[in-house]
Amino acid sequence: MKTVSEKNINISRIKITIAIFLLVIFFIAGYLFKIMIINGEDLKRMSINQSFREVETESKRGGIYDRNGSPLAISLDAYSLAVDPLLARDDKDLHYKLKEISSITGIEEEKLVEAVNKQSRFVWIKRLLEDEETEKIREVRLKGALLFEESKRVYPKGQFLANVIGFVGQDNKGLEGIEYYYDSVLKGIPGKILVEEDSRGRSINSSVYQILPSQEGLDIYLTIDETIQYVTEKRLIEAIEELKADKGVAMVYDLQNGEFLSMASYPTYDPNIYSTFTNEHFRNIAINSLYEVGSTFKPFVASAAIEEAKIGRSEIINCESSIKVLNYNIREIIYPKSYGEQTIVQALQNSSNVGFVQIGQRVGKEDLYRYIKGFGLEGRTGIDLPGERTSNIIPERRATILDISVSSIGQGNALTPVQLIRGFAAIVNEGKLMKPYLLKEAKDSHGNVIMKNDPKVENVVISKETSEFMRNALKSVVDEGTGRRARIDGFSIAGKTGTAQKSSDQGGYLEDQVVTSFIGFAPSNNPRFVCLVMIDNPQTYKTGSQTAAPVFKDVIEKTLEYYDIVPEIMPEEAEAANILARKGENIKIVQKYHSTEIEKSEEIKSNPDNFVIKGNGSYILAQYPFEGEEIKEGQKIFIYLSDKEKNEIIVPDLKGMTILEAGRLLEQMGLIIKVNGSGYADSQLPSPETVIKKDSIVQVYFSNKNEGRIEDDKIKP
Amino acid sequence: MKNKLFQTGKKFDPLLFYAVMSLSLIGLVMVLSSSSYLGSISYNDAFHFFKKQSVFFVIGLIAMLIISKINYKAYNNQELILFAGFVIIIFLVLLFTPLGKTVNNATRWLEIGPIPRFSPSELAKLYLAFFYAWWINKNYRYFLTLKGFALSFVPMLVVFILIVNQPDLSTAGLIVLATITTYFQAGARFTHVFSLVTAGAASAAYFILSSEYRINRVIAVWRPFENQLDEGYQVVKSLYALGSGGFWGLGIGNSRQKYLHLPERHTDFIFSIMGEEIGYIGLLFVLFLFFVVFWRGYYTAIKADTVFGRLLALGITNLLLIQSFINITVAAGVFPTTGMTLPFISYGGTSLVITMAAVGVLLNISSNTIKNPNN
Repeated sequence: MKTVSEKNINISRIKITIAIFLLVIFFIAGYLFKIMIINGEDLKRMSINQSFREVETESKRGGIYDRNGSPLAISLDAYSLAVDPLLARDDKDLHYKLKEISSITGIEEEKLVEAVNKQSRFVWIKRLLEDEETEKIREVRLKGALLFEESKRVYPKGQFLANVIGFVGQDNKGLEGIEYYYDSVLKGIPGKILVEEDSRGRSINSSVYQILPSQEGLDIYLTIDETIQYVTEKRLIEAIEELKADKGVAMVYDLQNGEFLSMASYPTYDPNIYSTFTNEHFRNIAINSLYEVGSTFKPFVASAAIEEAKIGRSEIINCESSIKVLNYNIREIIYPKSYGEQTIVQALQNSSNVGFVQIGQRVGKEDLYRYIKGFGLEGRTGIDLPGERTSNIIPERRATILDISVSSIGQGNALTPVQLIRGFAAIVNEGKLMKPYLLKEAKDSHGNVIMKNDPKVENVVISKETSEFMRNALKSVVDEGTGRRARIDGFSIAGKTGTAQKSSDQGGYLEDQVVTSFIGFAPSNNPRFVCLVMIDNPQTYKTGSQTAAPVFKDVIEKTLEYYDIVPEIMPEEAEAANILARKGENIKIVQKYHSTEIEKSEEIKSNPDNFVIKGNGSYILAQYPFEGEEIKEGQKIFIYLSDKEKNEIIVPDLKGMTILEAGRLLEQMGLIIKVNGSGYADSQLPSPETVIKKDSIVQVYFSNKNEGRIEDDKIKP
Repeated sequence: MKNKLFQTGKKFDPLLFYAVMSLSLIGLVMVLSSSSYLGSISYNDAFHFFKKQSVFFVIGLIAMLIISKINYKAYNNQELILFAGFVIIIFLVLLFTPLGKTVNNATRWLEIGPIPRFSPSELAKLYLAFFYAWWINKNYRYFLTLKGFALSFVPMLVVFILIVNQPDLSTAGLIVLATITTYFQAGARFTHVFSLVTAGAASAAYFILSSEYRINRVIAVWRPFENQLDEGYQVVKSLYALGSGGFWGLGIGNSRQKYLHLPERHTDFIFSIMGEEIGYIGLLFVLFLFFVVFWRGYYTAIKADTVFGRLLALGITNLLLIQSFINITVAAGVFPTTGMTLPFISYGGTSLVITMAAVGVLLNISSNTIKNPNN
C-alpha cells in the first residue's frame, strides 16, 4: 500500500479549508451575538407577546337586594363541563361513562358520543351545572373531563320585580334593567392573568401569572320595598287579568325623597329563563311607554292656573256641555248634559273637559309650557333605568290654541308613567320636583357603602300655598268626585282618575281602546306616598274609577298599614260587615303570629283547633297564610316552629303556592328558594316535613296546573 | 505488513471521542426539552421522543465503538465499494415504489420490513465519501487530468439526480459542496475546481431564479418579518427563540417556542431551542465542541497513514462540517430554510446511528497514524 509520503496530497489545501471553516465559525458566533445579544430584547418582547395572552378572570357579580336586604338577584358559583375528546377517547370505560353522564345531565348519549369524536381538543358539554350534577360527574372520573368554575345568576323570586331588575346574559353581562344600568357597578373589576399558550391557543397549565386580582362587584340595595312591591304586583296582575287588559303599570313613589317603593309592570317574565320570553315581556312600561294621560294631566294645569293667579280659587267658570275651539267641539263626558257653573275645584272633581279647556286657555301657551317643563314632563326624568323614553310634547312654537286646549285635558302630549308620577308628586310636595331613583345604595363585600343616592330637589315648581290648595282639591276628588272608589276607610287620601283614548299609529284615536289611570297620594294631610296605576286597554270596564282606583286603594291601604301610619279617622265598625256582605261568607283577616315565642300568643293557646303546628321549638318562624290576608272562617293557619337560631327547620309543604308565596314563606323561614318553571308549586325537594339547616336550598318545581293549596293538615298515605 | 480486520489494541483520538459524546448527550437533553410538549399532547407522554432517541443513541454508540475497531483499510476494496454503490442506488430507486414513505411532500424514507425506517440519502452522502476516497486514491494521476476530473463527477451526478428527485435539494446540495471541498483538498487542479465552483454556482442561481417559490424562500431569509405569515414564518419563530435566550438563556426546559410556535423544533430547528434555553454562552460552548470535532477530523486526515485514510477522513469531516454549518445558518436566518438536521443533536434515530458510525470510521483512522505505524 502506498503511504502518504509517496503521494503528495497538499496538506496546505487542508489548512486552507480549516482556515475558511474557522472563519465561518467566527462569523456564526458573531452573527448569533447580533441576534441574541444586540437584538435579543426586541425579539424576546415579540416572543412574549406571541406566547402570552392577557386573560380576564371573572369577578363575582354583586347581588341585588330590596331596601331591607331581601335578595332579588344573586350569583351562585356553578361548574360547567367540557371535555378534551382526545383524552376522553383513551378512557377504557368510555362507553359506560358516557352513559352515566347522559343520565346525570339529561343530555342524549348520541350527542355525547358525537362530542368526544370531534377533532378538537375542547368541547363544551353543559354550562352551569346544578351542584348535584357536578358532584356526580366528579365521581364518574371520565378522562379528559374538565370542570370550570363559572358564575350563575339566580333570581330567587322568579318574575318578582323582573321588569326593573332585568337579567344577565350567559357572558355575565347585564342585558336589561338594573342589571344593565348598573352593570359596571355589579360586575366588579375583572382580574388579569397572563396565560402562556401554545401556537394553537391552548393554555399551558403550569404557566399562569396573576398580574391583577379581581375585585368583587358591589351589592345593590334598591329603594324598592319587597312587601309593597309584592302587593303592587299582585293587585296589578289580578286587575289586568280580571279586566282582560293588555298592559299595565302600578307604582308607589315616596314623594318626600324621590324613591320608588314599588314598580310593577305587566306583561312580565321570569328572568331565570329569560330566553323563553320576548322583548315585549322585558319592557318596563313605567319608563318605556308613552301615554296621553288624559284627566290625570288636569292637576298640572290647575296648579299652573292657581300659582300664576290666572283664576281665582273660588271663581266661577261657566261650563256648557261643549266648547268650540277653532273648528272643533270639545265635549264633556256627560254630553249632552253640562256641569254649569263650577269652581276650579269642582272642575277637578267632575273632571270637566269644558272647564279645563277654559282654564288652560287662561293660563296661556307660554305659562303652560313653562309649567310642563317645570314639572319635568319634557324630555326624560333621568331615572336610573335603561331605555327611558323621551316624552312627546307638541313643540311650543307650533302649538295652536287648539293644542293648548286639548293639552289641558291631557291629550296630544304623551308622557311616561314615571314622568307623570314624579310631576304629580311635586304638586303635592310643596312644589318640590325630586330626582327619581331606584338605587338606594351600593355596598362592597365588607358592608361599606360605596355609592349612594341622596334625595335631591331638582326644581321648585309651585309655592307651598298652591300645593296646599291642590292637596285639598285632590282630596275632595276622592271624597266627592270621580275617585270615590279609591276611598279607604280610616285614611284620608287624595287623587285623580284618568281615562284617555289611545292614539293610533295611523293618527287619530282608536275608537274602543282606552288607557285608564288613577293617581293619588296619601295621607292627604301629611303626604308621603304617591301611587299611580295605569291599565292599558281594559275590556270589561272602561273608566279610571272602575279599573285603576280599586287597585290604587288596595295598594295604598297596604302601604299605609305596612308603614304603621295611624288612621286619621277611627275605622268604622261597618268595615267588617262590609267584607262579609261582599263575599257572602265568613271572612277574617289573618293576624301576625310569626317572629315571636309561641307562648306569647294567647290566640293559639285558646283556639288550638284553628292552627296546624309544624316543627319543634318554641319560636314561630313563619306562618301561612301570611298576615293581612283574608281567609275563610275555619280555614287553618300553619305555624312553623323552630328555635330562635333556626338550627332545625322543617320544610313546609308548598304545593299550590305561587312563586311569590312560596318565596315569601321560605324566606321567612330562613331557607333559599330555587325556582324551576312557573305557575303553581307542584313538587319540591327536599320534600315536606324534612328537617334541614338554615340557608339550605329548596328546589321548587312549578307547573301550570293548580290543584289547590293545602288548606288542612292532610297526611298523604 | 499485517492487515488485521479487527484492531483491538490501538487507541483512537480521545478528544474526538469525547467531543462527539458531549454533543450527543447535549442533543439528548435538547430532544427531551424540545419535544416534551408535543409528546405530552400527542402521545400523552412527555418522554415519547426522548425514549426513542435514547434507544438509537445506545445503538449508535455501540456501532461507533465496534466500527472504530474495524481496520478502515478493509473499505479500500473495489468489490466492496462497487457492491455498496449498487445497493445504495437500489435503495434510492426503491424510494419511488410503495416502500417509499412520503412526509411533507418529499419521499425521503424507506420502510423495508422489520428494518427501522431510514433515509437512503443519509447512506448515500456517506457512501460518496468512501467512493471518492477509493477512486481518487486509485486513479490519482488520472484525476488530475481534465478528463479524469470530469469523469469523476459521474457517480456524484447520479446520486445528485436521484436525491433531487425526492425532492431533497438540501441534501443534494450538501453532497455537491462536500464533494467539491474534498476535490479541492485532494489537490485537484485549481482551474478545474474553480470552473466547477463557477458552474455549480451558476446552475444553483439559475435553479433558484427559475421558481418563484424558491425566490421567495431566499428573500424570506433576508426579510423574515415582512413574510412572517408564510415564507418567513419559521425564521421569525427561530429568531424569537434565539433572541429570548439572550446571553444566559431561559434555562433548560424553559423554552417558550417549543410550545409548537416554532415548527420542527426538535429536528431542523433544535439549535434555536437550544439557544433559547442555554443562551449565547451555551451556544458558544456547543460551537466549540463542533470545532473540536472538525479540528480532530482534519488532524486525523493530516496524520492518516494512507492516502485512502486521509481522503476518507476528509470526506467524512467535510460532510459533518458543512451539514452543521447549513443547519446553524438556517436557524440564524442567514441561509434559506431547508430541511437539514444538526448532526448529533437533532431528533432522528437512523440519522444519529449513521452519523455515529461514520465517526467510528474516523476514530479508526485516528488510531492508524504515521506516528503510530501499522507494523
